[in-house]
Amino acid sequence: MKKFFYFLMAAAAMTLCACNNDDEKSKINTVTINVLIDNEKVSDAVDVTLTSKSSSTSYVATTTGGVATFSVAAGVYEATATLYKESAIYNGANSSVTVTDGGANAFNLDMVKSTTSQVIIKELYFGGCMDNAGEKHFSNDAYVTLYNNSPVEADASNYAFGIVYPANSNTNSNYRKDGELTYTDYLPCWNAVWWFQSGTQVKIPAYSQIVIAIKGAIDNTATYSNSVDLSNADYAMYDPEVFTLAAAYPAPSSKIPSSHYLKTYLYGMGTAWPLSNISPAFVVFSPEGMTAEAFVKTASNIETTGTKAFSCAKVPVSWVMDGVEVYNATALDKSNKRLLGSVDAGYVKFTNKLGYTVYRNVDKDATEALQENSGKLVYNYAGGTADVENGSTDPSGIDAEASIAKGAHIIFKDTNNSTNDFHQRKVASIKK
Amino acid sequence: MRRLIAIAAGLLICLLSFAQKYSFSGTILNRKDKSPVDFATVLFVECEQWATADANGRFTIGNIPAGKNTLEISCLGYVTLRMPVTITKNVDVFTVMLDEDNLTLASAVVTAKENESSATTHRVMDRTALDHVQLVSASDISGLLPGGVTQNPSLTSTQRFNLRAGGVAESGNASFGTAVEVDGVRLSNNASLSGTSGVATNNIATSNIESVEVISGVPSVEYGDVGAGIVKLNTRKGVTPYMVTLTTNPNIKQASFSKGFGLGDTKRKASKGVLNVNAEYTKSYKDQRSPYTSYDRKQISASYSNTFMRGFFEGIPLRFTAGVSGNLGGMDSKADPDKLTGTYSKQRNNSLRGNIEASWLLSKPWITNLEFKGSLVYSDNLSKTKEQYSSAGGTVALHGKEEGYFMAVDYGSDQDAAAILIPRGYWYNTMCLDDKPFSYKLTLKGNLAKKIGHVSNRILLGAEWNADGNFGKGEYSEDISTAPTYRTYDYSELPFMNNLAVFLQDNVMIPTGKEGSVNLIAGLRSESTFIKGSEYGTTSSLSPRFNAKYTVLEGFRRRNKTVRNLAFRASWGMAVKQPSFAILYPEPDYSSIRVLNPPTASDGSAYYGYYIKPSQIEYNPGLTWQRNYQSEVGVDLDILGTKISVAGYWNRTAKSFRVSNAYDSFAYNYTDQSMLESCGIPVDNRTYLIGKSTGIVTVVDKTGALPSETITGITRESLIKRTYADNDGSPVNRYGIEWVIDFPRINPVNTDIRLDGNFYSYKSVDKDLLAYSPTSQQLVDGTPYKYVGWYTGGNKFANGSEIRTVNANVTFTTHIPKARMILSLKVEGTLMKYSRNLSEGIDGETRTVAIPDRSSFLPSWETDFMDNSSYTATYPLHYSSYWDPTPRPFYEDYVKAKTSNPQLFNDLSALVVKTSQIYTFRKNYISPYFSANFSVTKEIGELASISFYANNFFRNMGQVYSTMTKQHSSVSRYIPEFYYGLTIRLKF
Repeated sequence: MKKFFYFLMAAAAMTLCACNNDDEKSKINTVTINVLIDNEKVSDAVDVTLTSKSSSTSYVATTTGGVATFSVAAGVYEATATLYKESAIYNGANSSVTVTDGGANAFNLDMVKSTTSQVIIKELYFGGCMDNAGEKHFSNDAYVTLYNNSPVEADASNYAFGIVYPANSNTNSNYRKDGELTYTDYLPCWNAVWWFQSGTQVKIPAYSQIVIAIKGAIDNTATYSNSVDLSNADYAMYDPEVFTLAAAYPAPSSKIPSSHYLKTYLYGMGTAWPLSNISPAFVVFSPEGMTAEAFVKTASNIETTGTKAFSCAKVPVSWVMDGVEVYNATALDKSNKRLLGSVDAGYVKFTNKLGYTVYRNVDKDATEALQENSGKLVYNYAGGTADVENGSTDPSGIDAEASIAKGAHIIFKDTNNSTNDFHQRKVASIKK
Repeated sequence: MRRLIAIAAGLLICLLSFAQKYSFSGTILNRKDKSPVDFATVLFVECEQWATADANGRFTIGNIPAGKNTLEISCLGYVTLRMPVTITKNVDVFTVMLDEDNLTLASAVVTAKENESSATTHRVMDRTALDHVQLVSASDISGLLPGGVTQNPSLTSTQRFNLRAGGVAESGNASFGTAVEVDGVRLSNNASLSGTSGVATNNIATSNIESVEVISGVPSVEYGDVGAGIVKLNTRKGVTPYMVTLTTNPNIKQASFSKGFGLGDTKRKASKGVLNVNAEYTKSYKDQRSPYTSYDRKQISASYSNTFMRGFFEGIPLRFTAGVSGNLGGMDSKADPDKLTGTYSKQRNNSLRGNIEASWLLSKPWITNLEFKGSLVYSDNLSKTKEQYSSAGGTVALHGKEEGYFMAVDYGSDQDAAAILIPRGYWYNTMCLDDKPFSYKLTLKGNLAKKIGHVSNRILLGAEWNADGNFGKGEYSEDISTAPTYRTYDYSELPFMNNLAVFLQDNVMIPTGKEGSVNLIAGLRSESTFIKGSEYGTTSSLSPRFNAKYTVLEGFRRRNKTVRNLAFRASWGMAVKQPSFAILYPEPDYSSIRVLNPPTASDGSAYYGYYIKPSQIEYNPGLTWQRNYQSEVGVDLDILGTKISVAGYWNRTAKSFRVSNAYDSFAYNYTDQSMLESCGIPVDNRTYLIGKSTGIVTVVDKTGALPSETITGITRESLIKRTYADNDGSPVNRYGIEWVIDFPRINPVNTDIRLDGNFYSYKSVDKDLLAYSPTSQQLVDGTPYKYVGWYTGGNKFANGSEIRTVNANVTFTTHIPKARMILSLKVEGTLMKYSRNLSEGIDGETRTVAIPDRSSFLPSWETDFMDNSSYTATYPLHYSSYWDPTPRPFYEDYVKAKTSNPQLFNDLSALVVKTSQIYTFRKNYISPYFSANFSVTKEIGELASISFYANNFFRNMGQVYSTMTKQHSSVSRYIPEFYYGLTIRLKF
C-alpha cells in the first residue's frame, strides 16, 4: 500500500515539475522584411505593414534600400505592402512571417503587379441578419454590386462569379502547405461558378452599378425586417434545376426578367451555392478565349483537394477582374489568405449575422478631382463600423451613397488590397 | 440405413436404461455465523438434478446416479461453491458452509473471469467487478474483456455491444449480430426501421445487475437470431438487505434502491418465495459545461421467484420466476437555453419488459427437466422535435405519395393536398417519429441427463417461437398545415416477422483417466421465418454447431503440481441473423421535382408546381438471411498458479444485410420561367393550374380579363433512384487471438497481476457490382444526368479495408482483505493500430489507378497506386444510360471519348471517383499509445462501500504519429479524456 502512495506522490511531483513558467518576459526581436520585385529589392520607399495574427496589432515601417525593419515579439505575423510605381500598382502579402526568439527573422515580401479594373466589386452583402425576434440568423439573402469605376460604359456580359476555396478564411485547406498557397497562377473556384446568360448584354454605364442577387431575389424584408429587399435587383443568380434549395432560391421577383437570371453548372455537390456568410473570398472573372460555361464543363479544368464536394475550377488568375478577401473577425489569428497578392493583397475583417456588409472605400483624391462633383460630395460618412470591435470605416470620409444621390460620380479605391479598399459597413447600401 | 437405426435404438435403450440412483440431503450454512442459507440453489451439474434450500437451509436431491459428479451451490450474496463429489450411497447429512461475498475474502476479483467449465469462450463478470468499474451503461463492461479499451461513461450517445469486431465503419453489421439478454429476455432491434445496428443498452438499469456473461465463442444452439457473440445480463434474485447506491461523475448522477424480500412460509411450511424490487434514477448530461441536454433513465423492476417443492411437487420441484421491468426516460433538450425559444428535441426511451420462466425437475427416464420461458419487450421510442421555421418567400411541404404533377396550395383550400404552400412568415412545428417496437419469445425445452457407465450425456431438445413487430405510426406532425416535407409510413401496418426454431443438442462428458475428460457438444438449430402478408413468405435455415474440449489435466489432486490444469478446446458453428425491418420494409423513396416556379408576384405570392414520383418497396426474391461462420480454438493452462487462457478465432460473415440502389429511366414535363414570359397575363393577375398526369401548365387570369393560356413546357429525361434490400455477396473476415494471463498473487503486497490482450484482424472487400448515378447533377447540355456507373463494391474510392490491432493491458490489483479494500491500476496499451484502404476489382481487374495530378482523369500507368504516394481515380466497371440500360465497358469508352467525343468524356467524368490526398491507400500505422485507469473500492464494515475511479489517470494528452498522413495528431481521439467518478453503496 505504501508503495502505491509513494508512486502517487512521485506522479504528482512530476506533474508539478512539468508546469511552464509563463511569467517569463517576452523578448523583442529585430525583423527585416525584404521588399522585392522580380527578386530585386525595390529602391522606392514602401510602407510595409506587419500584423500580428494573434493580437491583430499592426506595425508600419518604411523601407530603406528595399528593407523594412521592425522590432517585435516572437509570433506569427502577416506582412503586406502596396507600391504605386510607374502608373502600376504592386501588391505583396506574406502570411508566414514567423518570428522566433534568437532566429534570423529575415523574410521576403514579393510584390506582384496588379491590374485594376474598369468594373469593380463595390459591395458584397453576404453575412445575413437576425430575425425579427433577434434569435435566429437569416442568411438566405445575399447580393453583390458591380460598379463601373470609369467614365465610359462597361460591358460585363462575359463576366462570371466564383468563390475561392476554402469557404471561410479560418478553415484548414489542402491548398496551403508550409504556410504558403500551393497555387500561383490560378484561383481554385469552389463548387460552381455563375455567368450571365448567353445573348444577354450586361452594360454598366459610367459611374453606375448593377445589383446581382446571389440568394433570395425577393423582398426579404417582409419577413425579416433587418434583411434587404432584392425584388428590385437587376440580375439574379437563379438556376433552379441546378441549385434546388427553394429557401435560398425562391422564384425571383417578377420585376427581374428571366433573361437576367444567371446560369451555373455544379461541379461540386450541394443544393445551394455555398457562399460563406462569414468570410468568403469572392471573385469576378472574365474568361478569355472561351465562355465560363465551356470552361467549367471541361473536366480537366476541375480539381479537388477532397471528395467531390471540394471540387474547384482552376480559374487563371489573369482572368480575374476583381476580388475581395474577407477575414472572419472572430478568428483572425487562424485566418489565411486565399486570393493571390495580384488579386487582393489584403483583407477586410467582418462580423456576420448583424446585417453588416463589405463596402468599397472612396478614392478621395480621384473623386474630388472630378470637376462635375463640385458641391455634390457629402462628407462625414457615418456608415462604417469603426465603433465596434474589429470594425472599420471609409477613411475618405465621403458618404458615397449620399453623394451619388446628389448626382456625384464616385471613383472607388482600387489598389487590389482589401485592407485599403474596403470597410465593414453597418447597413447594406440598398437598404433605404 | 438399418445399421443406423439399430445403433440409434441401442443408444436410446442405453439412455433409458435404469441405473442405480441415490439421494443427497444436506444443510447449507453461513460460514460466519452458522445460520442457515435459504433459497440457495443446489445443482449436480452432470445429471442436472437440483433443489432449492428451505428456510432451514435444508435440501434433498434424489435420482443422482452413482459415480463422480460436480456439486454447485449458489446463492445471492454468497460465493458460489463448486466441488467434485463421488456418490456411492445415499447421503443424508451433508453440511456446506458458504462464504459471504465481500472484500474480506481473498478470492474477490475485479476482472472478467473465464468460465472454466465451458467448452467455448465464455467470460463472467460478477458484482464485485461491476461495482469496481461503476457500471452505468451495460456496454461499459467491454473494457473488462481481454484487450478491452475503457470508455468514459455516457448515456447521451447510443451505447451498443460489439463483440470481436471493430467500429461501425466495418462491414457485416457486427453490433446487429451481437445478442443481448436481460434475465433471458432477448432485446431485439429487428423491428427497427432505422438500419441494422445492435440494440441500444442505454435504457438498461445497471444498479441491479448481479453478473454479466459474455459468450464470444460458439454458443449453444439454444441461441438463435445472432451473429457473433451473446451478452447475458443477470439481475439480482434472492434475499438482500435494503441497498441504496449513489453515483456521481462530472456528467452522470445516479441513485438506486433495491431490496430482496423473503416472503416467508405458508402454513404448511412451504416457501412463499422471494420478491426482488429495484428502482433506479440516472441522469446523464451531454456536456458538463451546459447541463441541459440530457438523457434520463427511471426504471423500476420487480421479480418474483420461488421453488415449489411440497405437495404435488414433492420430489419433482418446480422453480418459477416472473419479472417485470419498466423504464421511463430518454433524451431531452427542452431546458437548453442555447436553443431557440420554444424549440426542443426529445426522444423517449421507454420500455416494458416482462418474463416468466418455469423449470420443472421431472426426473423421468425420458426427461430430466422441462423448461418453459416466455418474454416480451415493448418499447416506446417516440421522438418529438419542435422547431421554429421562417421563410421569406413561402415554403412548399410535400406529403403526396401518389405519382403526378401538383401545384402547391394553401392548407386551408385543400387539407389533403399533395403539396402544401406555407405562407411566408414565422411558425413553429413539432415533428414526431413514433417508433414502438415489440417482440415476444416463447421457448419450451426439455433435457435428459443420463450417465452410461462413466459417460455423462445431456440431450437438449427445444422449440422457440419469437416474433417482432412495430406498433408505431412512423413520422407525423402535430400540425400538418405547417409541417415540413414528410410522407406517412405507418409502421404498425407492417407484418410481424415470426420465427420458429427447433433445436437439438447433445452434450457428452467422457472421463479420460483420473484427471482428464473429453467434452463433446453437437447441436443443430433449424429455423423458419414466417412473414405473413409479405412476399418474403417463409425462409428456412439450418445452423449446426460443435464444441469440443479435452481436459488433459485437472483436479484437486494437482494443486501442488507444476501443471495444475491443461485443457484444449475447439468449436465451429454457424448462426443466422434475422433481418431488421429496415431491410424487409425500407421506406419508399419519393422523387420530388420542382417543375414549375413562376416569378414571385409583387405581393409576395409564390407558386410552385411539383412532380412526385414514388418508388415503392421492392421485393428481392434473392434476399437471404445474414449468416456467421465461427471457428475457435483455445487452450487453458495453469502452471504453478499462473493461469493462461489463449483463444484464437476466425469469424466469417456472409450475406450481410444492406440496402442497395437501382436506377430507372423516366421523363417529366418541365416549364421554366422563360416559357412563361410569353404569357400575356400580368404576373400579379395569374393563377396556375397543372395537368396531374401531363404536367402541362395553364395560366389563368384571376381578373377574367384575359383568356387562359396553356404553356406546354419541355420534356426532361432523368433517372430515379430506388432502394431495395440486398445481401453483400462478399464475405467479411475477422480473426484474432485473445489472451489472459493471471499471475499468482504476490502475497507480501497482496497484489495480483493480470496481462490480457487481443490481436484483431479484419478484412473485407466488396466485389458486388453496385450502381450509382449522381442524379442531382446535370449533363454538360444542362439536362438531368443520365448515366449510371456500375462499380465493383460501390462508388467509394475504396471498396474495402483491412484492419489489424494489438491491444495489451496490464492490471495490478491490490486486495487487502483485512482493510476490505481493492485498488487496481490498469494500463491499457494499443501496441499496433493498423488500417489500410483497399481497392480491388473482380478477378484482378483494375478498379483504381494512379493519376498524375488532381486535375487528371486518366492514369499514369507507371505508378502503382497502392504502394506509392499518388492521387487516384476509380472507374466504374460498366456504365449504362437513360437510353440504353445495357452495361457497356466504362474505361474503354471513356478513353475513346477523350478524343472523339469531348462532351461524353466530360459527362462520364462525373462517374470517376478521385482521391484528394496522395496518401489514401498508404498503410496507416498509428504509433503505440497508452492510458492508465485507477480504481479503488473500500468496504466500510457491512454497512457501506465506496468506489472511486479515475480514467486516463496520468492525463495523457500526447500525440501519435500516422504513417499514412506522416503527421502527428492528438492521442485524445483514441483514449478517454481524464475522467473520474464516485459511488457510495449503503446496506441496511
